Amino acid sequence: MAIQPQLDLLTDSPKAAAVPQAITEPGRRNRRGHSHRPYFSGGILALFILAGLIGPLIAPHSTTHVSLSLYLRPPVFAGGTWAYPLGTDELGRDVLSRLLGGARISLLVGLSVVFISGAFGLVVAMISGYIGGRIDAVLMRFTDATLAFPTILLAIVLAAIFGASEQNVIIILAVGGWASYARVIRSEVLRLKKQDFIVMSVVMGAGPLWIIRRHLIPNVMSTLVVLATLQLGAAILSEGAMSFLGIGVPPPAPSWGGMLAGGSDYLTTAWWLALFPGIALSLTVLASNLMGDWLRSRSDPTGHR
Amino acid sequence: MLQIENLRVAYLHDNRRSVAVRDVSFDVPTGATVGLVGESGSGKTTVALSVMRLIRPPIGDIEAGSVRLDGVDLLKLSNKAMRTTLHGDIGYIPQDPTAALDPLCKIGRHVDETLSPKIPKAERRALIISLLESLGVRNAATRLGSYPHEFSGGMCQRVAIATALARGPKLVIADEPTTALDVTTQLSILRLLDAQRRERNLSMLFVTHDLAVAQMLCQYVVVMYAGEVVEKGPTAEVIQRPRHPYTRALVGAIPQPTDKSRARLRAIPGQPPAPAQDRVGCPFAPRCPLAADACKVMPELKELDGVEVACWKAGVEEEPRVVAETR
Amino acid sequence: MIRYTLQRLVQSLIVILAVVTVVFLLVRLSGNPAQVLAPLGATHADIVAIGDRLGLQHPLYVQYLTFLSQIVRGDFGTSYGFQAPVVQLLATALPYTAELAFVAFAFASIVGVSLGTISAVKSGTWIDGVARFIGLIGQSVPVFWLGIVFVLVFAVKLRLLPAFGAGGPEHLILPALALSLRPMASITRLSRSATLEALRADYTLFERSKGVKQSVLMRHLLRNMSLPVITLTGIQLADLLSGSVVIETLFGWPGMGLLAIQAINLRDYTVVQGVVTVDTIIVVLMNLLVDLSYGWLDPRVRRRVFA
Repeated sequence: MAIQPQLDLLTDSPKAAAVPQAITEPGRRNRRGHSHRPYFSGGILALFILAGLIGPLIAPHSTTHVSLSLYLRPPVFAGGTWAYPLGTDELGRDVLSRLLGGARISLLVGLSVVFISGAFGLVVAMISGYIGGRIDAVLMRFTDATLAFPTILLAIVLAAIFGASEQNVIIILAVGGWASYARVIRSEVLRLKKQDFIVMSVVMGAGPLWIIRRHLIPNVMSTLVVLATLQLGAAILSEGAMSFLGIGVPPPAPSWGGMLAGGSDYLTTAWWLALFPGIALSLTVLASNLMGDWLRSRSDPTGHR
Repeated sequence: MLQIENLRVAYLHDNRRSVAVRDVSFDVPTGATVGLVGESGSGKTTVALSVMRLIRPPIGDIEAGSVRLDGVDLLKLSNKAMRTTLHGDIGYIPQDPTAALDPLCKIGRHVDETLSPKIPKAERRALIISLLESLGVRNAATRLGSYPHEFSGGMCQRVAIATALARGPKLVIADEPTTALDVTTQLSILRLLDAQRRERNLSMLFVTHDLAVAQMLCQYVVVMYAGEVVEKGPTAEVIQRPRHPYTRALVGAIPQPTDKSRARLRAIPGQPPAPAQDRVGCPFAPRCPLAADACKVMPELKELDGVEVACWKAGVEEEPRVVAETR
Repeated sequence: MIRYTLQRLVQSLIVILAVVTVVFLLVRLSGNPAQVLAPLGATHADIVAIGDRLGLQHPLYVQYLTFLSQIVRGDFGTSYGFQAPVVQLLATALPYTAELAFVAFAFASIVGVSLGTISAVKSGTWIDGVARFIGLIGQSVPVFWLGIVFVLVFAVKLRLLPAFGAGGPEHLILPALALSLRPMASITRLSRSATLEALRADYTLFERSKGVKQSVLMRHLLRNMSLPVITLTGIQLADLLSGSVVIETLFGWPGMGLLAIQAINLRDYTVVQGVVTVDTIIVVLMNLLVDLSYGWLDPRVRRRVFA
């Protein structure tokens, strides 16, 4: 489920199973299914990023201010008022404002996780793929173990010891998330290493750092972007799950997962509490998955055949 | 025996069609081997696969023509009847046997699948063993349980040939059966195929890019270029006196052991045209040393001393001299 | 074969040991567990007494070795929060999680493999559309939200199924269904692309040229496409275990996940430690099993590594 970030890039291609090459050998699905421009996913993602950046500025109410007299107001289309368009929660807080605030948390967590685990995964992939041999074998064993290890166990341990916080969520997801970058990019590096332009550089005496900087990193960039886009969705989903369990972003911060958890207690009386954050979360993740699939189909050279 | 008439086959890419084979007609007489010769992309494999109706959407589409086996048009058969025909009458020998044998399926089973389940198991087993032994697989009885990856390419091809022959077919279609093999193995496989043809009075459609191989094995050759037949006739006739400039170039590319001049092998300059929907003129004209204004119209196949040629310049005689000079 | 098995077994043990060690260190280095366990208003003497009961007066490596030897003997300590031996808590919870995960995974596999295969064979038809929709939705919709929607529809509105706790088989339906969606999505996607791959392979063309029955062709196809699907079972298992924590919490299903979350709320480290250890052992052993069975299913791997 949600907490294992970013595995679907690996699980989508059968080649990925034996030799992870998800980027270069995707299923035909991507080739045929997402050739059109991603207006839907692009639009949703733009909206999400905008909400994350300026949401709290345009929010009509405070995200945390409790006023019990306003509790459980329905949304405007279900008999509520325009003052609280999406209703209020059990503590009288405006649902719309909290949704906008939640976008900022999701964006922050998502981007941080993507950057940290992407950078770390890239470094591991370069060392492993370029140097090879013993170091490669050890690093890849470690990577496999990380991939098969349920991140939620780590989340549980850290939450039990240090308590829940936004920082811990980012650390946990990054610790669980770098492995898929390392796996996929390493196989890219292995493929690139055999190509003439790199072999030529080596023959001409270029140092490893120069080759990595000038040749390898630019060439794995598109792969990195695809992985990052897919992981963004997965990380947001995981943050939601952890906050839902109470081991993620602690209340009263308006995390979508936390809002869902609060709303699940009021299913019979206030359905909107669970509905809106669920939709926001699903749409954002869906858009980032669609975008990732589209980018992957575009970066696949065989897709143009 | 096998009569192919006006066969036209297209491949499908998304919503575009590219015609890979156009208006191909030729016969494979009973007991004879016909070589289908051409460079890669000439459509020869497509013809071979179309006979078995293995080209179908979403990959490609047989657009027109007929393929008659003993008078029955295979293209008009129901899917079930076609399967029965494939199961009984046609044997296929693939290009790369190591990829064509399901890696998870034991050797014995590959052959067994083509035999009727009505035959008792022990009998089938004995049949498979004797067939494999006769094809040069030693200790076949102990190797039925092996997997394809444990066999060499040549051994895999023997298994594939056994699979093709086990059903007692009338027609064998071999698609470059030796291309993926070692040079030393190639010859033994070719000898084996020829021996089996004689023994079983098989008709054989032999796809190859190598005119030298066709010369060894085939009574007739059909030369294809860019999806069209440019020349066809008895092998000896075609190779000794090639009438089409393309055939001539191919013949020139056969290494001659008698040639003491240590001349280099001649390459044909230029590239074959890309498959397209419509085409005017002779497809070889851009690479042809004899091209003239007449070649802007596609020449029909016409008979010339027992050989059919599609070339406006087919009668021009000085060309062999030109070839000899350039050597 | 035996050598490979042993090698993988040793590797698995190393992974388990590493996880157990890390958890132990994190717990011990994060502060004084006795402080946390002590009730509000406890005196310093009380805390020291609790610490002595936990063995905290000994040096760290002694504590570590004691801890290891206890685990090996199956002793995970006593839970102060639940007032019971941790082993007993785990033994009660484990069957519930196993039941839930097994049913969800079986359902996900059956639906996912059939849907993925059919959608590849009938590429471009409505069933292909359904498969792709499930593949996309399953990895985008959070299971906890899906669970909430299920509860709202089937338990609250329709009053068909119980929404909470464990009991008869009807209690299992909603949580198992919600838990199965994500693995179902990835199995569908993977089966689909693996089948497409197999359909394009040379051996499929060769089988077709033999004129074999559809059923024979299907068997070749299924065996070949199942290999990549099985390879990823290990990763999916990790996924499933993560999902079960959420689902168990949501549906009040008394398994390992719910136990862990309750333990966190009680700040009961011993239970958390026990849950993580047992879960790790399960995941590692399952991965070992998958690896070994893969070797058996693929003759190429079998001869290479088992020779």
